Amino acid sequence: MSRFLPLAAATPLLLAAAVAVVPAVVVRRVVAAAAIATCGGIGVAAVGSTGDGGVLATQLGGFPPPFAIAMAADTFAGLMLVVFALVTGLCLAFAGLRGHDGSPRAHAGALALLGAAAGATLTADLFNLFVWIEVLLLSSYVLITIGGTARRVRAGTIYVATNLLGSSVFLAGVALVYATAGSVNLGVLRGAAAGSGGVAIGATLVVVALAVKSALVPVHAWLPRSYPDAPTWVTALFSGTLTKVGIVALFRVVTVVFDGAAGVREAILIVAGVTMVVGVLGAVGQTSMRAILSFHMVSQVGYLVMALGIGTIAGLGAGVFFLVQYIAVKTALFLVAGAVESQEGSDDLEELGGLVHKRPALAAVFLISAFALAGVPPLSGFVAKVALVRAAFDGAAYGIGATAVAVSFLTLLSMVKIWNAAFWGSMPEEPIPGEPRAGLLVPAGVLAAVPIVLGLFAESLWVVADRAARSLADVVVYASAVAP
Amino acid sequence: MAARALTPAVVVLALFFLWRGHDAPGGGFIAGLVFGAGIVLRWLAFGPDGIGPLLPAPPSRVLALGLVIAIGVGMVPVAVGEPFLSGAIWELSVLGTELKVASSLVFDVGVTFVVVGMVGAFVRGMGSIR
Repeated sequence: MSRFLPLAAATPLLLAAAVAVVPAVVVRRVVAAAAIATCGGIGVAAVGSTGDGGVLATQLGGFPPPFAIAMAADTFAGLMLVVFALVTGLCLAFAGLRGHDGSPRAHAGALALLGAAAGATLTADLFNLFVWIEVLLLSSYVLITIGGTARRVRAGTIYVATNLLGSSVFLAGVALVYATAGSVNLGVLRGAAAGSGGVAIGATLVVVALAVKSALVPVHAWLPRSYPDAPTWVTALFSGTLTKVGIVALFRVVTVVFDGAAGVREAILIVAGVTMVVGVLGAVGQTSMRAILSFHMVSQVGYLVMALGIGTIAGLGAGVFFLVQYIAVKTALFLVAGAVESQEGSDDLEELGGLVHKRPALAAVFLISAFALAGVPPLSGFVAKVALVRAAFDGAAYGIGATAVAVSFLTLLSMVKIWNAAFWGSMPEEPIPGEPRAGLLVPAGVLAAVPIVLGLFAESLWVVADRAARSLADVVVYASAVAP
Repeated sequence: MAARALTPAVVVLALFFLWRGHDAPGGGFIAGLVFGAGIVLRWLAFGPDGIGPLLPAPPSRVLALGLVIAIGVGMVPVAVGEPFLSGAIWELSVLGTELKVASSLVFDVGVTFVVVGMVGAFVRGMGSIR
């Protein structure tokens, strides 16, 4: 099994090259589906075969460890592959239904993004992680500027400049780690930050760079300035994969290289709290659905790293549970915004109103996802937040626990604002002509089923999330699999 | 004139880096960058039509071909039960000289194509903004 792991990254990349030159859009869609299924299938297989707490690992090129680039999958990595594949498939489906996948760049970009996300999730080598993140960014540059309007190019410029800066910091950090520890293999680097100042500084630079990519405050400002201007399905795809790869890498680097050191976790908790608050307050002043949702993305990233800051098995488990359901919920919300924008001609709250009468199904999907985001019972967001807050209190992190609860209410307020302006009230007197398309709501509908199912049957994901948390925390098993 | 004279030198230099990259500094990425520098040079000297001799195909095709070569050669060993990207080394006797050829050279050729395609796409994309 383990030698097939690299195919989760290689297949989407290979087929991205193929779809770039295929003229028929139908063929491109089929090829894309095959690539996504391969990646997701490998994820399922990895989750299935790491149930005993084991770690699958392979050394690329058959070179001896720790000199080869190692790729490894524990339950956490396998689960993320499945989620990334699912989100990519549904976002491409939305693009197809909307008629926005006419350019070969759409499929090629999305597949390359998925391949790079898989590579970054699986790799156990810091420099290789840098390379995957660069591939990820390269494909996202292509996607964010599809259509090439002036606004999009401007959004792309902010995005590219910020991320190139982040990448430089990342590379400097990797260089410092290599210069002091003599290796970039995560297995060799297990707990190395405690023993060497050079490794600690280098790894901190890597963490800072990953914070930029994940849009943590105070290095978050690029995200709400660039995401709302990309094509809707691209914003949804980015929200579900791109920024979350930063989080996945952050989880891995902090648990392995810092071995969950208390000082680092405390710093992360402070950043998490500030991120939650700044993101949720930033959303207040926004007037379009996508801009509000983009600020909430910043806010919710705070919850994710909060789990890392708590650092206990219960905390990490809650974080994994939160991450999986949140990706589904947030992608659903962006796809709803996309459907509204497509059918009503705008997603600006001042141009909308009364959608609950006109499009009840759309309103229902929005309501479920919005409540799940805010954490209203019995949806999965509630289960995730209760678990997170409980883990925080159990770990004596009272400040962050209270912040998490308070920010939930503010999140609900923002969702109510969208609801009141777009779905409630009276219809606009001079509606902008939209272009309704059949089935546009299906991808969002599928995703909106996730918080219901995971809310009512939380146990099923909880078992996997708990295993994922244990695999994250058990760095000795991970390290000995990666660098035997 | 200088650009015309330098073109073959750039190509030879790129091939040299590609060849020695297995055991010495160089490799597919560097070769692609050197080749790409040749493309940029010709663009600056002769304009958009001047890059034809170095880049006769659309850049996206070159990039795609490179990806297929690089990843394809990595997948072959997986099919026969070896780790991804495992390589073989062949000793050949060419014109009385012993040559060591590694299968990773194919991978490097793919990487070169990717980088050349990328540089070509950059030059075309940015060069066409008025």
